[in-house]
Amino acid sequence: MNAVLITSITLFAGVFVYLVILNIRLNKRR
Amino acid sequence: MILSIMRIMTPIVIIPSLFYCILYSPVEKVIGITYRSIFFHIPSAWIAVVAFAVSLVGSILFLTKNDLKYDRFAHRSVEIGLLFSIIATLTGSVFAYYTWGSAWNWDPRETSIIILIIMYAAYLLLRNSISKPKLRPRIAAVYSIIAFLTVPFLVFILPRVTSSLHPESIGGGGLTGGMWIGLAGMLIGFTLIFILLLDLAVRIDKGMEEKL
Repeated sequence: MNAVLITSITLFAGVFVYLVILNIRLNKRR
Repeated sequence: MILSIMRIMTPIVIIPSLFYCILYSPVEKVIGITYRSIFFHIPSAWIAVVAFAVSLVGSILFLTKNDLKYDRFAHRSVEIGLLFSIIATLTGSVFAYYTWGSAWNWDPRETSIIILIIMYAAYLLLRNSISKPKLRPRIAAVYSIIAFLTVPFLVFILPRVTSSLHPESIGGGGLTGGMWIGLAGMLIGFTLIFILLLDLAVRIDKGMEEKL
């Protein structure tokens, strides 16, 4: 089960990091 | 309109798929429930290939129609593809640690995804190193088309020709009906997430260019 938890968290963390990057970009624009 | 339907559809597809994949999908005979990692590993690799393909189409459209809109799609698609190929490598590495005994084995797929990551990281570097705004999308588009030529070779052909620890080269994936349902749900869900992320990134770019 450990492997499943680590892989799922990695995937969603990756998507979250990208959203944070997009947010930073958006704030630079303002 | 289509995008707002997608925004509603994404959680409707992802949340039940997640519950099913993590808690209820059938147990595999050999490696037990550890195999459930594939529900996160395969979609990320799939999105990487889709993203690079979108970048190819965007680059071709930019070169033929000379519209910056397509260049934005090509550029941000490479970015997302790169992110998901790194995720696929990390999740694959964790899965390999638990099933093959070592996190990195220089399996043909591991080697080829590293080459892909380096190639598309070079795309972003190349793009950022060109200072002339008119030249930048053009050179990037040409590079993206050339880079994509290697994707089918590295992702589909090479791991099947050489001997690999990946299931399809040692005789069948061994997924049963219930597992395919979970995998299909995750693949559809993450394709939707990819489309929404790409749309978001492209809209932010568009706004930035309008302000300049």
